[in-house]
Amino acid sequence: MSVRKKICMLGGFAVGKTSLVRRFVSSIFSDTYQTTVGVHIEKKDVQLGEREVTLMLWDLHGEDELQSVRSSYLRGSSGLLFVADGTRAATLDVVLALRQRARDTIGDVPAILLVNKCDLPECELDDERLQALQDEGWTVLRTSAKTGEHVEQAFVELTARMVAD
Amino acid sequence: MGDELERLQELESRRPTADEISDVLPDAVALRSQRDSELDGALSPTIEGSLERAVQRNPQRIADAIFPIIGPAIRKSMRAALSSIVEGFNRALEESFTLRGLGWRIEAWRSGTPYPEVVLTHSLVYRVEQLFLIHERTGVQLEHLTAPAIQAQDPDLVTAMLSALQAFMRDSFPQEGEQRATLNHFEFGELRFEVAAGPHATLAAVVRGTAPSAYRELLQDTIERIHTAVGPELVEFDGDTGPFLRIHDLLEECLAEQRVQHQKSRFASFAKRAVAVLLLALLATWIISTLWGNWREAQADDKAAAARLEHAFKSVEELEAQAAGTQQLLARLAADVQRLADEEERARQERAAADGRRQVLDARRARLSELRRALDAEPGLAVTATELAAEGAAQAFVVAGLRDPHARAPLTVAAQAGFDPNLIDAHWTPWLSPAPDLVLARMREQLAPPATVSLAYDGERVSAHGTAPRAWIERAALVGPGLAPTLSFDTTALQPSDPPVPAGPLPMDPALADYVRRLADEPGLVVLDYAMGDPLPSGRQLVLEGLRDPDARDPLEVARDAALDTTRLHALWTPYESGDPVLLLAKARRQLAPPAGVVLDGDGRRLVASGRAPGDWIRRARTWVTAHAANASYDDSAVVDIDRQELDERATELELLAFYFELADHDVDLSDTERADLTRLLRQLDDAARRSSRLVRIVVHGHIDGSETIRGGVEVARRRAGAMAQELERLAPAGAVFTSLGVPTADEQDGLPVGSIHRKVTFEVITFGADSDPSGTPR
Ligand SMILES: Nc1nc2c(ncn2[C@@H]2O[C@H](COP(=O)(O)OP(=O)(O)O)[C@@H](O)[C@H]2O)c(=O)[nH]1
Ligand SMILES: [Mg+2]
Repeated sequence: MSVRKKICMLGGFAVGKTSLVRRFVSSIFSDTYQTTVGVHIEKKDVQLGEREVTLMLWDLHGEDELQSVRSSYLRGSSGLLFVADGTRAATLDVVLALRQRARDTIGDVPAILLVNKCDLPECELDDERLQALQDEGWTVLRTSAKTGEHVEQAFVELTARMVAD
Repeated sequence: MGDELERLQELESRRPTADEISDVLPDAVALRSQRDSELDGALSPTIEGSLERAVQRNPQRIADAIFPIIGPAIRKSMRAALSSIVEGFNRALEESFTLRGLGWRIEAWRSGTPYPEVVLTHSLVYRVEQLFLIHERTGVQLEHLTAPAIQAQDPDLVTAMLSALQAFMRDSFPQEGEQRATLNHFEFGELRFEVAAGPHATLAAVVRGTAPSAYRELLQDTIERIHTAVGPELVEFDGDTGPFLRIHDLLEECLAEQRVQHQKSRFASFAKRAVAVLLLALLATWIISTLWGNWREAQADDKAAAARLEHAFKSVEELEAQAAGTQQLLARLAADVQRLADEEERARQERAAADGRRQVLDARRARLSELRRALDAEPGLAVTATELAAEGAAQAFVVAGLRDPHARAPLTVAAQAGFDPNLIDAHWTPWLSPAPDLVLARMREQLAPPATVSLAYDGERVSAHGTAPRAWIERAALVGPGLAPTLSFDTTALQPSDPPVPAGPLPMDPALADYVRRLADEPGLVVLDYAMGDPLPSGRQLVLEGLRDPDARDPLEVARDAALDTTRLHALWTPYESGDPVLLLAKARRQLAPPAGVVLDGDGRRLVASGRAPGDWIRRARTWVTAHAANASYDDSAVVDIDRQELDERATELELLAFYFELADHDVDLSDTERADLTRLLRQLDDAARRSSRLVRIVVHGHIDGSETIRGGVEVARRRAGAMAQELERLAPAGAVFTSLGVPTADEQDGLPVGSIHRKVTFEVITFGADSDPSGTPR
């Protein structure tokens, strides 16, 4: 029996949402920057033990302006992947605002925070900051869409949580 | 009192102030409107006038104000009008170039019906190609159905995009009044999406052609019934699509009910469209260039008009390019179709050729075993091996065996059985057959009995009767037994015809006589003649002539046993094959060369083999025993046929496999490793089958699960089995000795378990003997 789950990618402008999805879905990283228009949807089958889950990944338009994240796109999500850019601390604020917005729209669903671009040396979000987030209840993973670090784990971890729910 | 009256008059005569009227005006208007409509009449000229003035002064403001009311209304009627115009145009365009179009014109003229109406009634050609059932909240696909032979692009993604589109439209064009507007339909190329939305799920149909309005109603009705059937499941949906299998047949109706009235091939419609586009483009070019010419003369400097026309020209170019593109597409399509057909034909020819070769080979094999049976049946001939000669060799059959000198000539036997002796390449080893007729013939020749002696065979021994010279009797008693290896020879009934010879000049040396007797007793040694006397010129005293089996004891050893000086002997041994059972074991060991894993045991009457051996050896041993020891028993029940074992093991390996399918689907989709494994397994199976000379038949069983009984049921099972059987044939080595066959295994309509692990094919391997041994169990 197949299980299908919707996941939304949420985060500020150019933090790497699209790249993460691409990495996970076809494992090819593109350095060409592409602004996503509206929403881009990808699909991926995840094997969890005996179960197979089909993830529908909704990659939403990411601009700093929160208005542009349509609440109607959030509806029905079984899980959320928040993405911040490790080299730009301000993108974490966008994440926090987006989370509030998601809560208001769809309530609490399993979520993970990805601090992306961890392959780059100039890191503005240090371990202490992440620890503080973890203490607040976030699950945080440092990822890189470029090297693929933790990308697979992030999606699988979120899937596991959604299925356990 | 006077004061009061005065004030009253004053009040009556006084006109009310604006302030006072503004207090009562709203109520007054309301009151009066309730009573009659005088007020409307009284006010309308004023309102009209002021509206007119307002529009003149600032039209935008008024337009903005009334847009929300009038916008949707206009849009609706525009949409309806436009789409009917476009539809009509499309159809007319498509049909007016055909013979059918002409036919319709005639029909319209005859019946007096307007032409468009005739076109309409004939054009309800449509087909619902795909159906999506979409969960409203999550945008996840609950069900997806396709019409037969439709290849759907990833339906999950289509579903998600549809729902995103829906959300996007709602957000971007919020509509008052309609509390939840939906995207009802939209068109894409030749396809039209019809969408019926319910509160928790949406049904979208992809229609090719023009569906009647009744189809929309069917969709709407279906989505309502779906809500009734699985309402709670829709509300609680969290990704598990299992519960929605139930409503599959509801959906099926939306797919199946739509019958195409006269299906035209897609190719034809393609072609028609291309022609239409081309003609239209030419027409437009002509019109526009004519216009262009006129226009240029008249309005040479009207830049704006020129630009507009240039634009029109561009459109024509685009149309032309489109037509050219379509033609290329058509050409490519035709080439593809041709290529596919060619490939199919080539594959068919190859298969036929392989079948032909196999048939020829089978026929030759059958001939060979006929030949073998004919030769074996002849007394004095025993075939030990047969083989088909390599293709192109001068002789077709190779035969090796044993031949008694008194047997009939093998080629005569073969010719009598209908074989051309020239086609047989035979290799014979001399042999003393135990067959009584031949034993008698041999004795008559070697012993040369006088006319007074008769030889007779009574079923177990050969006996000599009559009278003969003493010397002949003596020699017969010595030599005879060796000539009748499996029989006993009795000379006791013979009467000497001459008086006993007194001690003569040539006394028989008792030691030498003893030696000859010993030799005659020795299995595999046959004394045919001997002479004894004074030392010969060579100094030897005994001259012997005889036959010697390679497995018999060394005659010199026998001489040593008899304590005879071997320098006194002169012997001439001719090699031969003895039929003496005592030698059986030694002979078997030497000639059969049992492989390392086999132990051969027994005595003259019994031969017992045990251990592990290739099937080939086992069969060779059996034939050998038949040829060399027809009277001995042979027990090889303790021999494990390693080829058979291999065959059984591989068969079991295959039988443990299962391949799984998507719901209601029968595409065999093997991964590279699966394909490699299966190819290996089939090759091993084929090898083992050949080595153990067995035919293998693989039966592919197609299974369905409970949810599929309503989606094609046994037919799906049959297709699965059939598809897998085809796959097996593709993967099997060329000329494999097995055939595969697909059968459905889904008789029970109820009570089949539900779940993806039941949607599968499994295998059953049946093996049976090629020729000699149909039971397959060792003798
Ligand atoms: N070095 C590095 N660059 C990244 C990484 N992820 C994304 N980028 C780059 O960041 C830019 C924005 O990425 P994109 O995926 O379009 O961001 P989105 O707007 O959140 O979808 C692109 O130039 C990417 O190549 C990463 O992990 N490491
Ligand atoms: Mg993006």
